[in-house]
Amino acid sequence: MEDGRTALSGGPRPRLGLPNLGDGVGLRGVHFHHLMHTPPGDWGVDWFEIISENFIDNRGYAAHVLEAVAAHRPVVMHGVSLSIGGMAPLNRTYLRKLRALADRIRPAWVSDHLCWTGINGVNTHDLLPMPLTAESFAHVADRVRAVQDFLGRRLVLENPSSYLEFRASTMPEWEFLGMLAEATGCGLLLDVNNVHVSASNHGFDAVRYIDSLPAAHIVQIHLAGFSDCGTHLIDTHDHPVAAAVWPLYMRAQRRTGGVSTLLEWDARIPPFAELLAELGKARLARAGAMPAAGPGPCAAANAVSTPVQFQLGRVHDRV
Amino acid sequence: MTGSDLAALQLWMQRRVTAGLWPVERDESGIGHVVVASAALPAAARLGIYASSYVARLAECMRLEFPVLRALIGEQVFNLFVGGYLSARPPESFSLYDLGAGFADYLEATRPSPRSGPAAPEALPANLARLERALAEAERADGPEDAAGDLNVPSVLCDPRRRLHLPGSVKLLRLDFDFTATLATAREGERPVMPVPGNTLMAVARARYRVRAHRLDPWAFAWLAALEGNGGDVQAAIQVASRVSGRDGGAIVADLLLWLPLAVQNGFIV
Repeated sequence: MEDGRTALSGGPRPRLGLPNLGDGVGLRGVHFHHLMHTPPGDWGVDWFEIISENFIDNRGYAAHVLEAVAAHRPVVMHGVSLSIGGMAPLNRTYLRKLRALADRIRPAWVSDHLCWTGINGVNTHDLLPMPLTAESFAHVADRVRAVQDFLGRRLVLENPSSYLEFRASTMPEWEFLGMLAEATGCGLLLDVNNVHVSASNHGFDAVRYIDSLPAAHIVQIHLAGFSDCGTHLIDTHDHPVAAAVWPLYMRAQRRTGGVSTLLEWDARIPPFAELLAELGKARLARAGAMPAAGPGPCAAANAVSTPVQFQLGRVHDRV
Repeated sequence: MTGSDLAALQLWMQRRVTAGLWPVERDESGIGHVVVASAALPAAARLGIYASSYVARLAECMRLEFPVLRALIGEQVFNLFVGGYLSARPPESFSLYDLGAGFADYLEATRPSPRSGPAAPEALPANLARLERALAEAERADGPEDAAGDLNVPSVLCDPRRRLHLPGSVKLLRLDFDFTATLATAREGERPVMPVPGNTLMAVARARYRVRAHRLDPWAFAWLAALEGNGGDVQAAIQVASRVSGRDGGAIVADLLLWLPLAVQNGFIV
Protein backbone atom coordinates (compact mmCIF):
# COMPACT_ATOMS: atom_id res chain seq x y z
CA MET A 1 0.00 0.00 0.00
CA GLU A 2 1.39 3.35 -0.99
CA ASP A 3 1.05 5.00 2.39
CA GLY A 4 2.32 2.01 4.30
CA ARG A 5 -0.95 1.30 6.09
CA THR A 6 -1.82 -2.32 6.74
CA ALA A 7 -5.04 -3.60 5.22
CA LEU A 8 -7.48 -4.35 8.00
CA SER A 9 -8.94 -7.51 6.57
CA GLY A 10 -6.00 -8.52 4.41
CA GLY A 11 -6.83 -10.54 1.33
CA PRO A 12 -4.79 -13.48 0.19
CA ARG A 13 -2.52 -11.40 -2.04
CA PRO A 14 -2.30 -7.81 -3.19
CA ARG A 15 -3.64 -7.26 -6.68
CA LEU A 16 -1.50 -4.95 -8.81
CA GLY A 17 0.21 -4.11 -5.54
CA LEU A 18 -3.08 -2.88 -4.07
CA PRO A 19 -4.37 -4.55 -0.90
CA ASN A 20 -7.76 -5.96 0.02
CA LEU A 21 -9.04 -3.20 2.29
CA GLY A 22 -12.03 -5.20 3.48
CA ASP A 23 -15.59 -3.81 3.54
CA GLY A 24 -16.13 -0.07 3.16
CA VAL A 25 -18.76 2.59 2.60
CA GLY A 26 -18.86 5.99 0.94
CA LEU A 27 -18.03 8.95 3.18
CA ARG A 28 -21.16 11.11 3.00
CA GLY A 29 -22.13 14.37 4.71
CA VAL A 30 -25.20 12.92 6.41
CA HIS A 31 -22.92 10.62 8.43
CA PHE A 32 -20.31 13.21 9.45
CA HIS A 33 -21.95 13.88 12.82
CA HIS A 34 -22.16 10.18 13.64
CA LEU A 35 -18.54 9.53 12.71
CA MET A 36 -17.19 12.55 14.58
CA HIS A 37 -19.08 11.58 17.72
CA THR A 38 -18.27 7.85 17.62
CA PRO A 39 -14.90 6.38 18.60
CA PRO A 40 -13.15 5.14 15.44
CA GLY A 41 -12.98 1.66 16.97
CA ASP A 42 -16.78 1.55 16.86
CA TRP A 43 -17.23 2.74 13.27
CA GLY A 44 -17.77 -0.83 12.13
CA VAL A 45 -16.25 -0.30 8.72
CA ASP A 46 -12.80 -1.13 7.33
CA TRP A 47 -12.35 1.77 4.91
CA PHE A 48 -14.02 4.73 3.23
CA GLU A 49 -14.40 5.88 -0.35
CA ILE A 50 -14.74 9.60 -1.04
CA ILE A 51 -16.06 11.36 -4.11
CA SER A 52 -12.92 13.25 -5.08
CA GLU A 53 -14.78 16.32 -6.39
CA ASN A 54 -16.47 16.82 -3.00
CA PHE A 55 -13.11 17.47 -1.39
CA ILE A 56 -11.20 19.29 -4.11
CA ASP A 57 -10.95 22.99 -3.13
CA ASN A 58 -12.79 22.23 0.09
CA ARG A 59 -11.39 23.85 3.25
CA GLY A 60 -14.52 23.44 5.32
CA TYR A 61 -16.00 20.91 7.68
CA ALA A 62 -15.94 18.13 5.09
CA ALA A 63 -12.16 18.49 4.81
CA HIS A 64 -11.89 18.47 8.61
CA VAL A 65 -13.89 15.22 8.79
CA LEU A 66 -11.86 13.65 6.00
CA GLU A 67 -8.64 14.36 7.88
CA ALA A 68 -10.06 12.73 11.00
CA VAL A 69 -11.30 9.71 9.06
CA ALA A 70 -8.09 9.26 7.09
CA ALA A 71 -6.14 9.22 10.34
CA HIS A 72 -7.94 6.02 11.33
CA ARG A 73 -8.98 4.21 8.15
CA PRO A 74 -7.72 3.75 4.59
CA VAL A 75 -9.39 6.08 2.11
CA VAL A 76 -9.91 5.63 -1.64
CA MET A 77 -10.55 8.57 -3.99
CA HIS A 78 -13.35 7.92 -6.48
CA GLY A 79 -13.92 10.59 -9.12
CA VAL A 80 -16.73 11.47 -11.53
CA SER A 81 -15.14 14.21 -13.65
CA LEU A 82 -12.02 12.72 -15.25
CA SER A 83 -13.82 12.11 -18.58
CA ILE A 84 -11.27 9.53 -19.60
CA GLY A 85 -13.18 8.82 -22.82
CA GLY A 86 -13.84 12.44 -23.75
CA MET A 87 -12.53 14.01 -26.92
CA ALA A 88 -11.85 17.29 -25.12
CA PRO A 89 -8.24 17.54 -23.92
CA LEU A 90 -7.61 16.22 -20.43
CA ASN A 91 -8.40 18.96 -17.91
CA ARG A 92 -4.98 19.74 -16.44
CA THR A 93 -6.43 21.99 -13.75
CA TYR A 94 -8.62 19.16 -12.56
CA LEU A 95 -5.72 16.70 -12.68
CA ARG A 96 -3.49 19.06 -10.68
CA LYS A 97 -6.16 19.42 -8.02
CA LEU A 98 -6.75 15.67 -7.99
CA ARG A 99 -3.05 15.08 -7.53
CA ALA A 100 -2.85 17.69 -4.77
CA LEU A 101 -5.73 16.02 -2.91
CA ALA A 102 -4.04 12.64 -3.30
CA ASP A 103 -0.78 14.08 -1.97
CA ARG A 104 -2.69 15.39 1.04
CA ILE A 105 -4.77 12.37 2.03
CA ARG A 106 -2.62 9.58 0.53
CA PRO A 107 -5.44 7.35 -0.73
CA ALA A 108 -5.00 3.61 -1.22
CA TRP A 109 -5.84 4.27 -4.90
CA VAL A 110 -7.60 6.70 -7.23
CA SER A 111 -10.51 5.61 -9.42
CA ASP A 112 -12.97 7.01 -11.96
CA HIS A 113 -15.28 5.64 -14.67
CA LEU A 114 -15.03 4.43 -18.25
CA CYS A 115 -17.08 7.28 -19.69
CA TRP A 116 -17.01 10.83 -20.99
CA THR A 117 -18.68 13.81 -19.32
CA GLY A 118 -18.77 16.55 -21.97
CA ILE A 119 -17.24 18.21 -25.00
CA ASN A 120 -16.78 21.75 -26.33
CA GLY A 121 -16.42 23.25 -22.88
CA VAL A 122 -19.64 21.77 -21.46
CA ASN A 123 -19.69 19.36 -18.53
CA THR A 124 -22.95 17.41 -18.36
CA HIS A 125 -22.04 15.96 -14.95
CA ASP A 126 -23.16 12.56 -16.20
CA LEU A 127 -21.23 9.38 -16.91
CA LEU A 128 -21.94 9.18 -20.65
CA PRO A 129 -21.34 5.91 -22.52
CA MET A 130 -18.50 5.24 -24.94
CA PRO A 131 -18.84 3.68 -28.37
CA LEU A 132 -16.83 0.49 -27.95
CA THR A 133 -14.58 0.46 -31.00
CA ALA A 134 -10.89 -0.07 -31.73
CA GLU A 135 -10.48 3.67 -32.29
CA SER A 136 -12.10 4.72 -29.03
CA PHE A 137 -10.06 2.02 -27.28
CA ALA A 138 -6.83 3.55 -28.60
CA HIS A 139 -8.02 6.99 -27.51
CA VAL A 140 -8.91 5.87 -23.98
CA ALA A 141 -5.73 3.82 -23.59
CA ASP A 142 -3.59 6.86 -24.50
CA ARG A 143 -5.42 8.95 -21.94
CA VAL A 144 -5.17 6.33 -19.20
CA ARG A 145 -1.40 6.24 -19.72
CA ALA A 146 -1.25 10.04 -19.64
CA VAL A 147 -3.25 10.22 -16.42
CA GLN A 148 -1.19 7.51 -14.76
CA ASP A 149 1.99 9.38 -15.72
CA PHE A 150 0.58 12.65 -14.39
CA LEU A 151 -0.66 11.22 -11.11
CA GLY A 152 2.35 8.98 -10.67
CA ARG A 153 0.12 6.12 -9.70
CA ARG A 154 -2.05 3.42 -11.18
CA LEU A 155 -5.56 4.48 -12.23
CA VAL A 156 -8.52 2.26 -11.42
CA LEU A 157 -11.53 2.41 -13.78
CA GLU A 158 -15.12 1.41 -13.10
CA ASN A 159 -17.66 -0.04 -15.51
CA PRO A 160 -20.56 2.44 -15.55
CA SER A 161 -24.26 1.67 -15.81
CA SER A 162 -25.48 2.52 -19.29
CA TYR A 163 -28.85 3.07 -20.87
CA LEU A 164 -28.01 2.95 -24.56
CA GLU A 165 -25.62 1.23 -26.96
CA PHE A 166 -24.12 2.68 -30.13
CA ARG A 167 -24.46 1.04 -33.51
CA ALA A 168 -20.79 1.82 -34.07
CA SER A 169 -19.68 -0.46 -31.22
CA THR A 170 -17.74 -3.51 -32.35
CA MET A 171 -16.94 -5.20 -29.05
CA PRO A 172 -18.62 -5.86 -25.70
CA GLU A 173 -17.74 -3.69 -22.72
CA TRP A 174 -15.98 -6.52 -20.87
CA GLU A 175 -13.65 -7.00 -23.82
CA PHE A 176 -12.95 -3.26 -24.02
CA LEU A 177 -12.20 -3.03 -20.28
CA GLY A 178 -10.11 -6.20 -20.27
CA MET A 179 -7.99 -5.00 -23.17
CA LEU A 180 -7.64 -1.61 -21.52
CA ALA A 181 -6.44 -3.11 -18.24
CA GLU A 182 -3.91 -5.33 -19.95
CA ALA A 183 -2.65 -2.61 -22.30
CA THR A 184 -2.24 0.13 -19.70
CA GLY A 185 -1.85 -1.78 -16.43
CA CYS A 186 -4.81 0.08 -14.94
CA GLY A 187 -6.91 -1.56 -12.26
CA LEU A 188 -10.59 -2.36 -12.58
CA LEU A 189 -13.36 -1.38 -10.21
CA LEU A 190 -16.04 -3.95 -10.92
CA ASP A 191 -19.47 -2.57 -10.06
CA VAL A 192 -21.62 -5.68 -10.01
CA ASN A 193 -24.79 -3.60 -9.70
CA ASN A 194 -23.80 -1.74 -12.87
CA VAL A 195 -23.18 -5.06 -14.61
CA HIS A 196 -26.70 -6.15 -13.68
CA VAL A 197 -28.26 -2.83 -14.72
CA SER A 198 -26.48 -2.73 -18.09
CA ALA A 199 -27.06 -6.45 -18.72
CA SER A 200 -30.76 -5.94 -18.13
CA ASN A 201 -30.89 -2.80 -20.29
CA HIS A 202 -28.92 -4.27 -23.18
CA GLY A 203 -29.74 -7.95 -22.93
CA PHE A 204 -26.28 -9.39 -22.37
CA ASP A 205 -25.23 -12.13 -19.95
CA ALA A 206 -24.02 -10.63 -16.65
CA VAL A 207 -22.18 -13.81 -15.65
CA ARG A 208 -20.29 -13.87 -18.92
CA TYR A 209 -19.32 -10.21 -18.33
CA ILE A 210 -17.80 -11.03 -14.94
CA ASP A 211 -16.14 -14.25 -16.12
CA SER A 212 -14.54 -12.47 -19.08
CA LEU A 213 -12.76 -9.70 -17.21
CA PRO A 214 -9.09 -10.25 -16.34
CA ALA A 215 -9.47 -11.15 -12.65
CA ALA A 216 -5.92 -10.14 -11.79
CA HIS A 217 -6.79 -6.50 -12.58
CA ILE A 218 -9.93 -6.29 -10.42
CA VAL A 219 -8.97 -4.43 -7.25
CA GLN A 220 -12.37 -3.36 -5.94
CA ILE A 221 -16.05 -4.25 -6.16
CA HIS A 222 -18.95 -1.81 -5.87
CA LEU A 223 -22.35 -2.81 -4.51
CA ALA A 224 -25.39 -0.55 -4.80
CA GLY A 225 -29.12 -0.48 -5.41
CA PHE A 226 -30.98 0.49 -8.59
CA SER A 227 -34.46 1.63 -9.60
CA ASP A 228 -36.71 -0.36 -11.90
CA CYS A 229 -38.52 1.91 -14.36
CA GLY A 230 -40.36 -0.93 -16.06
CA THR A 231 -38.72 -0.62 -19.45
CA HIS A 232 -35.23 -0.20 -18.05
CA LEU A 233 -33.18 -0.10 -14.85
CA ILE A 234 -31.44 3.05 -13.58
CA ASP A 235 -28.45 3.10 -11.27
CA THR A 236 -29.86 5.36 -8.55
CA HIS A 237 -27.86 4.25 -5.48
CA ASP A 238 -30.95 4.76 -3.33
CA HIS A 239 -31.97 1.19 -2.47
CA PRO A 240 -30.54 -1.89 -0.76
CA VAL A 241 -28.62 -4.25 -3.01
CA ALA A 242 -31.06 -6.24 -5.16
CA ALA A 243 -31.36 -10.03 -4.91
CA ALA A 244 -30.14 -10.48 -8.49
CA VAL A 245 -26.87 -8.66 -7.70
CA TRP A 246 -25.67 -10.83 -4.79
CA PRO A 247 -24.87 -13.90 -6.93
CA LEU A 248 -22.80 -11.66 -9.20
CA TYR A 249 -20.93 -10.36 -6.17
CA MET A 250 -20.27 -13.87 -4.90
CA ARG A 251 -19.03 -14.91 -8.32
CA ALA A 252 -16.71 -11.92 -8.60
CA GLN A 253 -15.27 -12.55 -5.14
CA ARG A 254 -14.66 -16.21 -5.99
CA ARG A 255 -13.00 -15.27 -9.27
CA THR A 256 -10.69 -12.75 -7.67
CA GLY A 257 -9.96 -14.62 -4.48
CA GLY A 258 -11.12 -11.64 -2.43
CA VAL A 259 -10.98 -7.92 -3.15
CA SER A 260 -12.13 -4.73 -1.42
CA THR A 261 -15.89 -4.24 -1.25
CA LEU A 262 -17.60 -0.86 -1.20
CA LEU A 263 -21.31 -0.23 -0.66
CA GLU A 264 -22.56 2.90 -2.46
CA TRP A 265 -25.68 4.66 -1.18
CA ASP A 266 -26.00 8.19 -2.50
CA ALA A 267 -29.64 9.24 -2.39
CA ARG A 268 -32.20 8.72 0.39
CA ILE A 269 -29.16 7.72 2.44
CA PRO A 270 -30.10 5.73 5.56
CA PRO A 271 -28.64 6.14 9.05
CA PHE A 272 -25.14 4.71 9.45
CA ALA A 273 -26.37 1.63 11.35
CA GLU A 274 -28.63 0.66 8.45
CA LEU A 275 -25.78 1.18 6.03
CA LEU A 276 -23.62 -1.17 8.11
CA ALA A 277 -26.39 -3.77 8.18
CA GLU A 278 -26.51 -3.75 4.39
CA LEU A 279 -22.72 -3.87 4.16
CA GLY A 280 -22.73 -6.84 6.56
CA LYS A 281 -24.55 -8.87 3.90
CA ALA A 282 -21.36 -8.84 1.84
CA ARG A 283 -19.57 -10.80 4.54
CA LEU A 284 -22.42 -13.31 4.62
CA ALA A 285 -22.23 -13.66 0.86
CA ARG A 286 -18.51 -14.34 0.96
CA ALA A 287 -19.20 -17.03 3.55
CA GLY A 288 -21.50 -18.70 1.07
CA ALA A 289 -24.89 -17.61 2.40
CA MET A 290 -27.21 -15.80 0.03
CA PRO A 291 -28.10 -12.54 1.81
CA ALA A 292 -31.71 -11.65 2.34
CA ALA A 293 -32.59 -9.12 -0.33
CA GLY A 294 -33.84 -5.74 0.74
CA PRO A 295 -37.18 -4.41 -0.38
CA GLY A 296 -37.41 -4.71 -4.15
CA PRO A 297 -36.41 -1.71 -6.21
CA CYS A 298 -39.55 0.29 -6.74
CA ALA A 299 -40.69 1.62 -10.06
CA ALA A 300 -39.49 5.18 -10.40
CA ALA A 301 -40.68 7.24 -13.31
CA ASN A 302 -38.41 10.16 -12.47
CA ALA A 303 -35.36 8.20 -11.40
CA VAL A 304 -32.08 10.06 -11.94
CA SER A 305 -28.78 8.34 -12.54
CA THR A 306 -25.68 9.66 -10.78
CA PRO A 307 -27.58 11.39 -7.94
CA VAL A 308 -26.18 14.64 -6.57
CA GLN A 309 -27.62 14.95 -3.08
CA PHE A 310 -24.52 13.43 -1.61
CA GLN A 311 -22.41 16.03 -3.36
CA LEU A 312 -24.18 19.28 -2.60
CA GLY A 313 -26.20 18.46 0.48
CA ARG A 314 -25.42 20.72 3.39
CA VAL A 315 -23.12 19.20 5.93
CA HIS A 316 -24.12 21.87 8.42
CA ASP A 317 -26.84 24.33 9.00
CA ARG A 318 -25.46 27.45 7.35
CA VAL A 319 -28.02 30.22 7.66
CA MET B 1 -14.70 5.16 -36.38
CA THR B 2 -11.90 7.74 -36.40
CA GLY B 3 -11.03 10.25 -33.73
CA SER B 4 -13.02 12.89 -35.57
CA ASP B 5 -15.94 10.45 -35.76
CA LEU B 6 -15.74 10.00 -31.99
CA ALA B 7 -15.72 13.76 -31.48
CA ALA B 8 -18.69 14.14 -33.83
CA LEU B 9 -20.59 11.41 -32.00
CA GLN B 10 -19.93 12.98 -28.61
CA LEU B 11 -21.00 16.38 -29.88
CA TRP B 12 -24.11 14.83 -31.40
CA MET B 13 -25.02 13.07 -28.17
CA GLN B 14 -24.28 16.07 -25.98
CA ARG B 15 -26.52 18.33 -28.09
CA ARG B 16 -29.39 15.90 -27.67
CA VAL B 17 -28.78 15.19 -23.98
CA THR B 18 -28.83 18.91 -23.25
CA ALA B 19 -31.69 19.61 -25.67
CA GLY B 20 -34.10 20.14 -22.81
CA LEU B 21 -32.25 23.34 -22.03
CA TRP B 22 -31.68 24.83 -25.42
CA PRO B 23 -33.52 24.25 -28.69
CA VAL B 24 -32.04 21.67 -31.00
CA GLU B 25 -33.46 20.19 -34.14
CA ARG B 26 -35.44 17.08 -33.25
CA ASP B 27 -34.40 14.26 -35.52
CA GLU B 28 -35.68 11.15 -33.88
CA SER B 29 -35.34 9.04 -37.01
CA GLY B 30 -31.67 10.00 -37.09
CA ILE B 31 -31.20 8.77 -33.54
CA GLY B 32 -31.92 5.23 -34.66
CA HIS B 33 -28.97 5.41 -37.04
CA VAL B 34 -26.63 6.00 -34.11
CA VAL B 35 -28.27 4.34 -31.10
CA VAL B 36 -29.50 0.74 -30.93
CA ALA B 37 -33.07 0.24 -29.73
CA SER B 38 -33.61 -2.24 -26.89
CA ALA B 39 -36.35 -4.83 -26.67
CA ALA B 40 -38.33 -2.45 -24.46
CA LEU B 41 -37.34 1.02 -25.64
CA PRO B 42 -36.85 2.76 -29.00
CA ALA B 43 -33.51 4.46 -29.56
CA ALA B 44 -34.85 7.97 -28.91
CA ALA B 45 -36.30 6.93 -25.56
CA ARG B 46 -32.93 5.44 -24.51
CA LEU B 47 -31.22 8.72 -25.35
CA GLY B 48 -34.02 10.49 -23.50
CA ILE B 49 -32.98 8.79 -20.25
CA TYR B 50 -29.76 10.79 -20.35
CA ALA B 51 -31.57 13.99 -21.37
CA SER B 52 -34.07 13.82 -18.51
CA SER B 53 -31.37 12.94 -15.99
CA TYR B 54 -29.28 15.90 -17.15
CA VAL B 55 -32.05 18.40 -16.48
CA ALA B 56 -33.15 16.76 -13.22
CA ARG B 57 -29.61 16.52 -11.85
CA LEU B 58 -28.70 20.16 -12.47
CA ALA B 59 -32.05 21.42 -11.22
CA GLU B 60 -31.57 19.41 -8.03
CA CYS B 61 -28.17 21.02 -7.54
CA MET B 62 -29.70 24.47 -7.83
CA ARG B 63 -32.49 23.56 -5.39
CA LEU B 64 -29.89 22.42 -2.86
CA GLU B 65 -27.84 25.58 -3.21
CA PHE B 66 -30.72 28.09 -3.15
CA PRO B 67 -33.30 26.57 -0.77
CA VAL B 68 -34.52 29.85 0.74
CA LEU B 69 -35.03 31.54 -2.63
CA ARG B 70 -36.90 28.48 -3.84
CA ALA B 71 -39.14 28.48 -0.77
CA LEU B 72 -39.76 32.23 -1.01
CA ILE B 73 -40.69 32.48 -4.69
CA GLY B 74 -42.20 29.02 -5.10
CA GLU B 75 -41.20 25.93 -7.04
CA GLN B 76 -42.69 26.98 -10.37
CA VAL B 77 -41.02 30.37 -10.61
CA PHE B 78 -37.76 28.98 -9.25
CA ASN B 79 -37.74 26.29 -11.94
CA LEU B 80 -38.33 28.94 -14.63
CA PHE B 81 -35.36 30.93 -13.37
CA VAL B 82 -33.18 27.83 -13.20
CA GLY B 83 -34.17 26.66 -16.67
CA GLY B 84 -33.30 30.04 -18.13
CA TYR B 85 -30.01 30.21 -16.25
CA LEU B 86 -28.85 26.75 -17.27
CA SER B 87 -29.83 27.38 -20.89
CA ALA B 88 -27.88 30.62 -20.91
CA ARG B 89 -24.91 29.19 -18.99
CA PRO B 90 -24.56 25.42 -19.35
CA PRO B 91 -22.17 23.95 -16.79
CA GLU B 92 -18.51 24.12 -17.69
CA SER B 93 -16.69 23.38 -14.45
CA PHE B 94 -15.73 19.88 -13.31
CA SER B 95 -17.27 20.80 -9.97
CA LEU B 96 -20.99 20.98 -9.29
CA TYR B 97 -20.16 23.49 -6.58
CA ASP B 98 -19.50 26.01 -9.35
CA LEU B 99 -22.90 25.53 -10.95
CA GLY B 100 -24.64 28.33 -9.07
CA ALA B 101 -21.76 30.82 -9.20
CA GLY B 102 -23.35 33.05 -11.85
CA PHE B 103 -27.00 32.68 -10.81
CA ALA B 104 -27.31 36.01 -8.98
CA ASP B 105 -25.71 37.93 -11.87
CA TYR B 106 -28.02 36.16 -14.31
CA LEU B 107 -31.09 37.08 -12.27
CA GLU B 108 -29.89 40.68 -12.01
CA ALA B 109 -29.24 40.92 -15.74
CA THR B 110 -32.62 39.48 -16.68
CA ARG B 111 -34.88 41.12 -14.10
CA PRO B 112 -37.98 42.47 -15.83
CA SER B 113 -37.65 46.13 -14.77
CA PRO B 114 -33.95 46.89 -14.42
CA ARG B 115 -34.61 50.59 -13.72
CA SER B 116 -37.27 50.02 -11.10
CA GLY B 117 -34.97 50.86 -8.20
CA PRO B 118 -32.74 48.83 -5.92
CA ALA B 119 -35.35 47.60 -3.46
CA ALA B 120 -38.11 46.92 -5.98
CA PRO B 121 -39.67 43.45 -5.71
CA GLU B 122 -37.97 42.49 -8.99
CA ALA B 123 -34.59 42.94 -7.30
CA LEU B 124 -35.34 40.41 -4.58
CA PRO B 125 -34.37 37.13 -6.35
CA ALA B 126 -30.92 38.39 -7.37
CA ASN B 127 -30.27 39.75 -3.87
CA LEU B 128 -31.26 36.54 -2.15
CA ALA B 129 -29.35 34.41 -4.66
CA ARG B 130 -26.24 36.49 -3.96
CA LEU B 131 -26.66 35.90 -0.24
CA GLU B 132 -27.25 32.15 -0.60
CA ARG B 133 -24.27 31.80 -2.93
CA ALA B 134 -22.12 33.55 -0.34
CA LEU B 135 -23.36 31.11 2.30
CA ALA B 136 -22.42 28.17 0.06
CA GLU B 137 -18.97 29.57 -0.73
CA ALA B 138 -18.25 30.29 2.94
CA GLU B 139 -18.92 26.65 3.77
CA ARG B 140 -15.99 25.45 1.62
CA ALA B 141 -13.55 28.37 1.84
CA ASP B 142 -10.53 28.78 4.09
CA GLY B 143 -11.98 29.48 7.52
CA PRO B 144 -10.82 30.77 10.89
CA GLU B 145 -10.90 27.38 12.64
CA ASP B 146 -7.14 26.82 12.73
CA ALA B 147 -6.26 30.36 13.80
CA ALA B 148 -5.41 31.32 17.37
CA GLY B 149 -8.66 32.29 19.03
CA ASP B 150 -7.56 34.87 21.58
CA LEU B 151 -7.00 38.49 20.67
CA ASN B 152 -5.45 41.10 22.94
CA VAL B 153 -7.75 43.89 21.86
CA PRO B 154 -5.93 46.89 23.42
CA SER B 155 -2.67 45.67 21.93
CA VAL B 156 -4.26 45.27 18.49
CA LEU B 157 -5.62 48.82 18.57
CA CYS B 158 -2.42 50.40 19.88
CA ASP B 159 0.21 48.61 17.83
CA PRO B 160 0.55 50.30 14.40
CA ARG B 161 2.34 47.24 13.00
CA ARG B 162 -0.44 44.83 13.91
CA ARG B 163 -2.32 43.23 11.03
CA LEU B 164 -5.66 41.44 11.07
CA HIS B 165 -7.08 39.47 8.18
CA LEU B 166 -10.44 38.31 6.90
CA PRO B 167 -10.48 34.55 6.25
CA GLY B 168 -11.68 33.40 2.84
CA SER B 169 -14.95 32.34 4.45
CA VAL B 170 -15.95 35.99 5.09
CA LYS B 171 -18.11 37.53 2.36
CA LEU B 172 -19.14 41.17 2.69
CA LEU B 173 -22.42 41.98 0.96
CA ARG B 174 -24.35 45.17 0.24
CA LEU B 175 -27.95 44.12 -0.24
CA ASP B 176 -31.19 45.93 -1.02
CA PHE B 177 -33.19 43.92 1.52
CA ASP B 178 -32.76 42.82 5.10
CA PHE B 179 -32.98 39.03 4.99
CA THR B 180 -32.35 38.51 8.71
CA ALA B 181 -35.90 37.36 9.50
CA THR B 182 -36.13 35.49 6.18
CA LEU B 183 -33.12 33.34 7.04
CA ALA B 184 -34.22 32.90 10.65
CA THR B 185 -37.61 31.50 9.64
CA ALA B 186 -36.01 29.25 7.03
CA ARG B 187 -33.57 27.94 9.65
CA GLU B 188 -36.53 27.00 11.84
CA GLY B 189 -38.04 25.03 8.99
CA GLU B 190 -40.86 27.50 8.53
CA ARG B 191 -41.93 29.20 5.34
CA PRO B 192 -39.48 32.13 5.03
CA VAL B 193 -40.98 35.56 5.61
CA MET B 194 -40.62 38.29 3.00
CA PRO B 195 -37.58 40.50 3.61
CA VAL B 196 -37.81 44.14 4.55
CA PRO B 197 -36.64 46.48 1.73
CA GLY B 198 -33.73 48.76 2.58
CA ASN B 199 -29.96 49.07 2.31
CA THR B 200 -28.46 46.27 4.37
CA LEU B 201 -24.81 45.54 5.07
CA MET B 202 -24.03 41.93 5.84
CA ALA B 203 -21.08 39.70 6.57
CA VAL B 204 -21.39 36.02 5.83
CA ALA B 205 -18.86 34.22 8.01
CA ARG B 206 -17.97 30.83 9.40
CA ALA B 207 -17.01 30.00 12.96
CA ARG B 208 -16.46 26.49 14.31
CA TYR B 209 -17.58 25.30 10.86
CA ARG B 210 -21.00 26.92 11.15
CA VAL B 211 -21.88 29.54 8.57
CA ARG B 212 -24.01 32.52 9.52
CA ALA B 213 -25.12 35.80 7.95
CA HIS B 214 -24.66 38.83 10.25
CA ARG B 215 -26.10 42.31 9.81
CA LEU B 216 -23.41 44.98 10.37
CA ASP B 217 -23.38 48.66 11.29
CA PRO B 218 -21.96 50.88 8.54
CA TRP B 219 -18.73 51.64 10.45
CA ALA B 220 -18.05 47.92 11.10
CA PHE B 221 -18.76 47.02 7.49
CA ALA B 222 -16.45 49.80 6.29
CA TRP B 223 -13.72 48.75 8.73
CA LEU B 224 -13.84 45.11 7.60
CA ALA B 225 -13.90 46.11 3.92
CA ALA B 226 -10.94 48.44 4.44
CA LEU B 227 -9.06 45.76 6.34
CA GLU B 228 -9.58 43.43 3.39
CA GLY B 229 -8.39 46.05 0.93
CA ASN B 230 -5.44 47.41 2.91
CA GLY B 231 -3.43 44.31 3.73
CA GLY B 232 -4.87 44.07 7.21
CA ASP B 233 -3.64 47.47 8.44
CA VAL B 234 -5.85 48.09 11.48
CA GLN B 235 -5.13 51.82 11.82
CA ALA B 236 -5.62 52.56 8.13
CA ALA B 237 -8.91 50.67 8.25
CA ILE B 238 -10.04 52.86 11.19
CA GLN B 239 -9.36 55.99 9.15
CA VAL B 240 -11.32 54.63 6.21
CA ALA B 241 -14.20 53.56 8.45
CA SER B 242 -14.24 57.03 9.98
CA ARG B 243 -14.36 58.70 6.58
CA VAL B 244 -17.02 56.37 5.16
CA SER B 245 -19.31 56.39 8.20
CA GLY B 246 -18.80 60.05 9.11
CA ARG B 247 -17.91 59.08 12.68
CA ASP B 248 -14.96 60.25 14.71
CA GLY B 249 -11.98 57.87 14.67
CA GLY B 250 -11.89 57.82 18.47
CA ALA B 251 -15.49 56.68 18.59
CA ILE B 252 -14.68 53.86 16.21
CA VAL B 253 -11.74 52.79 18.39
CA ALA B 254 -14.06 52.78 21.39
CA ASP B 255 -16.57 50.63 19.52
CA LEU B 256 -13.82 48.28 18.33
CA LEU B 257 -12.73 47.68 21.92
CA LEU B 258 -16.11 46.11 22.60
CA TRP B 259 -16.79 44.65 19.16
CA LEU B 260 -13.51 42.94 18.26
CA PRO B 261 -13.96 39.93 20.61
CA LEU B 262 -17.35 39.35 18.99
CA ALA B 263 -15.80 39.71 15.54
CA VAL B 264 -13.27 37.00 16.38
CA GLN B 265 -16.00 34.79 17.83
CA ASN B 266 -18.08 35.16 14.65
CA GLY B 267 -15.10 34.34 12.44
CA PHE B 268 -14.84 37.82 10.82
CA ILE B 269 -11.12 38.21 11.48
CA VAL B 270 -8.04 36.17 12.34
